[in-house]
Amino acid sequence: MRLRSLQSRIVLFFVALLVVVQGITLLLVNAANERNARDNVRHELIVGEKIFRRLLEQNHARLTQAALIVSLDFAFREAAATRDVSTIESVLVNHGSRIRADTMALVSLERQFIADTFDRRRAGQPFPFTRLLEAAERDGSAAGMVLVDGAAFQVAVVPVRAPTPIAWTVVGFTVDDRLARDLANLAALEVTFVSREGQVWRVLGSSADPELQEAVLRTLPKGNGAGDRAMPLDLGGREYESFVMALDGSDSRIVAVLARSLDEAPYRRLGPLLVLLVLGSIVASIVGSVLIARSVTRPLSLFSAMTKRIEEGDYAQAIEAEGTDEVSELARRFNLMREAIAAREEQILKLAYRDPLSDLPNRVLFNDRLRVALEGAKRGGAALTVLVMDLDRFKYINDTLGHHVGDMVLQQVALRITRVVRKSDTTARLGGDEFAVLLVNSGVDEARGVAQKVVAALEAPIAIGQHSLDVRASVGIAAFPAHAGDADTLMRRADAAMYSAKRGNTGFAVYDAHVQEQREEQLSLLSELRQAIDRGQLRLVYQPKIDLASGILSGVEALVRWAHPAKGLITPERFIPFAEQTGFIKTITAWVIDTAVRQGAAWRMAGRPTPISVNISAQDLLNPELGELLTAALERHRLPPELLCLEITESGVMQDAARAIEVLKRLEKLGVKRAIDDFGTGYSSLSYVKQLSVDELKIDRSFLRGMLTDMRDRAIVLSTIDLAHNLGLIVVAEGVEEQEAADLLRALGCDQIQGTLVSRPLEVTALETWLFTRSAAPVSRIS
Amino acid sequence: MLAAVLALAPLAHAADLRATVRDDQGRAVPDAVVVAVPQDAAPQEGRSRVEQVEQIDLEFVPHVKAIQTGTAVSFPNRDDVRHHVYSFSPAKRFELPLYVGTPAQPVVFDQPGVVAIGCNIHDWMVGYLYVSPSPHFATTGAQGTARIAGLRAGRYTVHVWHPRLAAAAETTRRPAQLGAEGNAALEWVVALKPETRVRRAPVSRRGARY
Repeated sequence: MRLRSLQSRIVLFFVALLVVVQGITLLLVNAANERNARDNVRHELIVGEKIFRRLLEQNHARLTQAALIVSLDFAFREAAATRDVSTIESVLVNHGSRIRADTMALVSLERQFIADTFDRRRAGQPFPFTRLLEAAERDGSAAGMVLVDGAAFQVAVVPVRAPTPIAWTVVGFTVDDRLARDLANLAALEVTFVSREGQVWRVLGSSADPELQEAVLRTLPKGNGAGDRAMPLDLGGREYESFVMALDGSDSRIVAVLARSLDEAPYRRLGPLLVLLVLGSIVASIVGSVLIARSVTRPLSLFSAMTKRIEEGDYAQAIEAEGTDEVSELARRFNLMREAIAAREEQILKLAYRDPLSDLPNRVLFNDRLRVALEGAKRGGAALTVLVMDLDRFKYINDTLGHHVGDMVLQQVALRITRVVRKSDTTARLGGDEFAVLLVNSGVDEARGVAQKVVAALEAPIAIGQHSLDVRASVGIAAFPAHAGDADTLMRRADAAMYSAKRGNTGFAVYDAHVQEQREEQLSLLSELRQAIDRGQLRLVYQPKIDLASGILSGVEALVRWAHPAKGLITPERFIPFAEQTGFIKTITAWVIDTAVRQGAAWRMAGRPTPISVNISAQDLLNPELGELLTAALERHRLPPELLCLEITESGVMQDAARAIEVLKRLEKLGVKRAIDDFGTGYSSLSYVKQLSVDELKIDRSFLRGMLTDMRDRAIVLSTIDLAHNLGLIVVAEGVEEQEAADLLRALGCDQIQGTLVSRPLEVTALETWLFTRSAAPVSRIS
Repeated sequence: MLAAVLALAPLAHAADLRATVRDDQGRAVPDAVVVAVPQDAAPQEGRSRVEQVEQIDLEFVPHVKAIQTGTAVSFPNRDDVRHHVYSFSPAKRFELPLYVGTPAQPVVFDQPGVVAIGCNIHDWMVGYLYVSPSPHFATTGAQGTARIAGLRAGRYTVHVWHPRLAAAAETTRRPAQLGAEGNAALEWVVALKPETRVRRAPVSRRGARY
């Protein structure tokens, strides 16, 4: 509607403009034309009038000539001289018919009719047109118009000379239509002869039509004074310019009205043509402006429709843009814009719903689909399962080989997962190294099968450049409706199952409510752990190590215990992993170091300096404040650093070997001792061990267990001991529970042992008692 | 004229009448006939000699001629074209049809009056014969003067006639007393009508054969 009004506005404006301009032009041209036409006609009238006068003069001259011919006839002269009236009359009649005169007369010098062919009874009567005679006396001859009994004559008067004037010959011609027409033809004017009697005008003869004659009679002024003047004539529609001419001197009883039509003037004739032209141009401008306006508004409607479609999300239809004008250019721009918007929207949708790295659906899309699938499942009473997985060693790869490699690993993993998952199922990357699979219409068994396939697919190492990377996944499975009724819970359950799988190193795990309960208990423990230090619920116990050769106490390993007010004594295995996961381990480690150093200082003060080993986690090792922490504790309690030994598990070292090597070097500078704990479980290569600046190697108890029966385990232990000795390290065996083991270890060259064979971990007072008792007991039993 | 005066001088009783005619513009009027009529004597018998009005160069010469009643006038044609001399004047009506040379019979003018003569061929040719009963007349020359010589002393009535005289000739009448020794001088101022002669046809002088 607005477009339509724009169109009509354009049309209206141009048409109005044109009408106004054309109207003004027409008025001006018309006015000029009118003026021109009148000027022209007046000019023509002036010329015509001159011609007319000239014609009249010529006519008079002709009449005069005709009269002269009669006058000069010798017989006529003789008759005139002798006043032979009958002869005179016959001569006049004869001559009159010869020259087609309407009247002929002979007038005496005394101005009396001698003879008159018009009316014989006039003989002897006075000749009424004395002025003509006077003129003839003066000029030799005279001609003019006279009225006789209502009829007008053009008369000529010439003397009859014998040889001096003896009489006047008068020749007269009637003024009638014929004369008017003759003159009109020559002068190219309408000629009307009019006579006046009193106040009344009467037409004597005219070349014009009755209407014009009528107008002439109507327009002529009443009475005298009609002579020689311009006189416009209006015939009601037809217009004439005329000129009034007195033909009989000042009397103005006979006048000629010369008229010329204004309508026949060339400029006048131009008028209708101009009007036609104006109307034509207005019509043309209406058509033109409608077309132009439409050419503007039609694309606008198209644009409008297109933007509406775009608004509704339909980007498919393009606007035709084939011309070269601005509108087509705009249409092309519109199309480009439409395409750009479509592309951007696609990109945005992709960003919003796709993971750009793996090109898998992202968490948002996965949650969407999960919700939709859940609703469908709820309605249809069907089941569905969710698999959530993350990679076990991804952080390690990312940290050591860089994000670039990490990204490629993720892409490979995504590829492998999608390969083993049906197309109809949704595989998504939730973020980081976390993936999820939505299996619609499937129960736990099918999910288990998929999980197995996924785990299997990831078992083979991934080759990135020259690296061959071993990434394994832990998959958690949760099922609807068995494990949860809504999406959030389902995902959390799957997460829980995944952690369970990770902890158990089982590859995949199905959600188990019981496991979860345990886990939730651990979580509550963790929150209590935060308060445990402040409340003095943590304490250290010490397990002695003895030198195999001498049987003398070589040191103690400080182990942390949590005396839970409700649950009793809790071993570190039950809370340290969570502390590590939450980062609370730092606080615990700081407490342990401080407590152990203080105890070490106490023993030293008591004159029994005893080396104390403290376990630190991989996180602690990476803590940049570790050095300060140690220095502060050692200085605070004035303990020589060599009395403190830090034990780090082999797997802890291997999480970031390079970093571990560096930190261990720094610790060496501090002067504290370093030991590798649980050696043999961390898959570390021997080349690493060489680089680790440690003093002690603690062989994992799992080797010792089989050592007595399995020769291969024994060989491992032996070669480990040999290796350590070759590197200048002290070898400690942990978890020694039997005398035979102790004996064998001694035989293999192991330096020190630790385990229940020697003593279980003891409280400080119990340890002191143990020491006292032991110093009294024979050493040989152990050593 | 001087010869005439000298010729008349021996007559002791003779006197001259000197007349001057001017128009109302003061211009000399030639071709005016001045006639003196003695009041106390009867008109004398006219002389018998023949007067002439010639046609020279398609004009009557002289243009105005005064003659005494009874005088015969011949109209010799000096041109090499024919003329047809006529008059319809009441004083003398005559016609001399086309002729060359001098017609055999002169025309006798036996009645007083003005005789206008014309030529039927040449419209512009007009001449006047003033036929006077009195023998005392003269015609003014280019200076508008005329002298009537040899008048006896006595009382005369003198009048002037001219072809274009506006008023009648009678209005110019004047009494004149002529003594034995005295010459009289009279002056007239007359109104003349405008010349209305027919325009002369453009004829070459040489070889014109009309």
